[in-house]
Amino acid sequence: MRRMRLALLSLALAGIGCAYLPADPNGSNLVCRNDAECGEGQVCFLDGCGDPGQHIVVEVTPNPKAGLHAQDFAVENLRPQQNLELFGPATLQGQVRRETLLPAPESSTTAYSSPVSVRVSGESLLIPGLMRRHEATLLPDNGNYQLAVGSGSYTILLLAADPQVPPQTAERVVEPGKAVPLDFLLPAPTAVTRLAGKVVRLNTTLVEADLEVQALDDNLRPLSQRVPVTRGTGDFLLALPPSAAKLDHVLVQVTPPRADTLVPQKTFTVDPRPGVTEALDLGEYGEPVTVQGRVVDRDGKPVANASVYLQGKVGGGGQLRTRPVTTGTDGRFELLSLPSHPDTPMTLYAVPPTTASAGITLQPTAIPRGGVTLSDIICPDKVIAEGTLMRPEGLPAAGVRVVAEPVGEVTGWPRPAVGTEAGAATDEDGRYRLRLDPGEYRFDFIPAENLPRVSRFVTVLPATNLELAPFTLSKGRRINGLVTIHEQQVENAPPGIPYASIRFFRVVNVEGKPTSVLLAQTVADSTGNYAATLPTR
Amino acid sequence: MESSLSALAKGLLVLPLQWLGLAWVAWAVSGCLVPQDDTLLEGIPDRRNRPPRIVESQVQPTESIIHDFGAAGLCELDFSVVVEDPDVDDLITVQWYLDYDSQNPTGYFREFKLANNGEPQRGDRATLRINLRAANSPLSTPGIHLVEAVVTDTRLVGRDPEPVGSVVLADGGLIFNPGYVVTHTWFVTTVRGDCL
Repeated sequence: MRRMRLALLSLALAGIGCAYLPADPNGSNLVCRNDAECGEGQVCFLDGCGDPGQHIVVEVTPNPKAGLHAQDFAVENLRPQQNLELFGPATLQGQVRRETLLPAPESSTTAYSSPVSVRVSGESLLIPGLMRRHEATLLPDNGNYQLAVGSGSYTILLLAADPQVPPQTAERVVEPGKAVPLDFLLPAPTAVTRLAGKVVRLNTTLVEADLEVQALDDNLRPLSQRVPVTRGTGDFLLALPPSAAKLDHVLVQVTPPRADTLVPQKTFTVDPRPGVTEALDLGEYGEPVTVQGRVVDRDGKPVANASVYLQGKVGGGGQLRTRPVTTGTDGRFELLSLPSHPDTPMTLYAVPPTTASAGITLQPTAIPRGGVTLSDIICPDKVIAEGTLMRPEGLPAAGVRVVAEPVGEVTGWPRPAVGTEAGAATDEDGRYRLRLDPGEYRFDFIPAENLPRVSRFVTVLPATNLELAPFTLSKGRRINGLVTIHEQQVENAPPGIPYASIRFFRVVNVEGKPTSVLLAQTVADSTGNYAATLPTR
Repeated sequence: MESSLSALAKGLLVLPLQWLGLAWVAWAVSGCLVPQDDTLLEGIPDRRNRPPRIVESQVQPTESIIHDFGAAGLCELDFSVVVEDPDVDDLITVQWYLDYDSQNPTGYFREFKLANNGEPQRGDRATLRINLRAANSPLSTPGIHLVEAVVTDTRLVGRDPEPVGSVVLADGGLIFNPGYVVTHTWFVTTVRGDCL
C-alpha cells in the first residue's frame, strides 16, 4: 500500500512537471520541459502539452496597402498542404450626415462632405490579445464613405476637421469579407452642447504657455475634440454632443501639448449644464527648478547614458512628467522640473541602457522650491536570467537566438520599455544568458535551422537571478500552400496573392485567461506560395 | 641467314618509327608549355550584391502619419516591416531609429537580425513595439516623433552601408561590391493623455 502511495505521488509530481517548470526560484513559469513528457503525438507548448494540429488560428494579411487587411481563420486540422482561401476586403461603410434643424421630429439632415478622420481600434475576433488599428482621413463623397479594415471587434471614433463638431463613437464587429454598415449623424451646430471656460493659475493669473483642453466621460472617452486655449486670455470653447447637456458632470483635461512646457496636466470635474464653467485653476505649481544628481551602479561606478526623469504630483494637484535627460560619462545629470507637491514626493526614474549591467531604479524624491542636488542614485544590477536549451534528439541546441519581449509589469515596477536579445546565440552547451529589468516577458527561442520557434512566458522578479529549467525544442514540420482570394476574377492574373503575410497562432487558456502564442510567421512569395515550420512530434 | 637479314631489316624500319613517335610526344607535351595569350582566372568572381527591399504592401502601420498617440486609449503601437532580398544568404539587419538627428547622431534604439530561411522573403517580421505606459517609453514626450526602420544587407557605419567586398584588378584598380540600405519612415504625434 505504501509503495502504491509512493508511486501515485511520483506520478502526480511528474504530471505537474509537465505543465509547470519548478526549478527556478520564482517557480511560476507555466511550461513543460520537453515533448517526451507529453502524450503520444502531443507537443510541449507554453500552456502545457497539446495536440500540435489543434487550437491553431491563422492570420493572413494579404495586402493592407490595397485595402486587403488581416483575416483570421481557425484551422481544424492542420495539413501539410494547407491552402488559404481568403475573402475580399472587409469594410466599414455608410454615410456621414449632419442635422440641420431642431427639434426632432422636424429635423432634417444633410450630407457632410468636409474632411473627417476615422480611427478604428480593437482586437482580433479569434486571436486574443492581437490588437488592430486603422486610421484614415476621408473626404466623404456626398456624405458617403468607405474604409477597408481587418476582421475584428472595434471601437470607431470619427473626428471632424472642424473642432466645433463633437467626436462620434461607435462599436462594430467586422468579419472577413463583410461590408459592415455604419452611419454617423453629426448634431446640428445649434444642438451642440457648448462649454466655455478659462484656464488660470492662482485664481486669476494667466498661464504663459500653450495649453489644450478636452472633455472626457468617466471612462475617459472623448466627448469633445482637443482644442487650444487662447494664449492671451486663457479662454476655451468646447463642443460636446447634445446628450452631454443632461450629464451632471464631465471631466475636462488641461494638457500642455509641448514637451518643453513645464506646466502640469490636470483633470477637473465640471458641470456642463450651465454652458460656462468657472475658471479651471491649475493652482500654485511653482516655478521651474533645477534637479541635479549622479546615477551609479552598486559598486559606485557612474552609469553613463542612463535616462532620468521625474513623474508625479506637483503643487496645485496636477501631474507632471519631466522631459527625460541622459547622464554623461560621469553619470551626472541635470533636469528641469517643478517643485513636488508638499505632501507627496515625485518619483525619479533612472533607466540605464539595455547594454548596462545596472538596472532600472525608482526613487521617491521631494523637489523643493529652489531646486536640489540629490545624493547618488544607486541602480541595482539587472536580473540575470539564464538556462539551457536542448535539441529534439537531446543534444544541446547551439546557435539559437533568444529574445525577451516585455509583456507586462510586476508589482512595484514599471513595465520595461524595450525587449532584449541575448548578446550571443546559445553556446555549444545550449546555454543562454540575458540581463533584464523586473517584469513579465515572453522569451522567444528562434533556431537558425528548420526547427520551429518556441516561446515561453517568464516572470522576472527583482533581486533574484533566475535559472530557468532546461527545455527541449520541438521537431518541425513543414506546412506549405497557396494564398488565394475566393472571388478574385481578374483574367490572366496568377491565382496567388503575392507577399501575403501569414502567422500561425496557438490559442488556449493560460491560467483561465484566453491567450495566443505565435507559433510561426512567414511571407508568401511573388506567386502567393508560402512555407512555414510548425512544431510536431 | 635469310631470317637474320629479315630481322635486321625490321629493326632498321622500326627505329625511325620510334624516333617519330618520340618526336610527336615531345611536340605534344611541349605544346602545353608554350605560353598562351589567355588571361587565367584565379577563381569565379563573386556575384554582385543585390539590394534588399522593404515589402511596402506589408508595412505596419500602413499610414505614415499617426495622430494622437496617447489619446482615446491608444497607448501601444507596433511598427513592423517585412524584407525581401534575392541574395538568400545575406544577413538582413533591421535597425530602428527614433528621432534621429544627423547633427547629433545617436545609435539605433533596437536592432533585429532577420533569420535566414533560404527564401528571398524573410519569414520574420522586424517588429518594434512602443508602449507609452512603459518606463522611459521613447515616444512618450508630447510632440512629433520620427520612427525609422533602417534595413541593410551589410554592416552599417553610422547609417551608411559598407561594401560587402572588393576585387583588385590586374591594373591595380579596385571594384567595390556595394552593400545597401533602405528605410521606411513614420511620423507619430504623441499627446499627453491617459497613458502616462
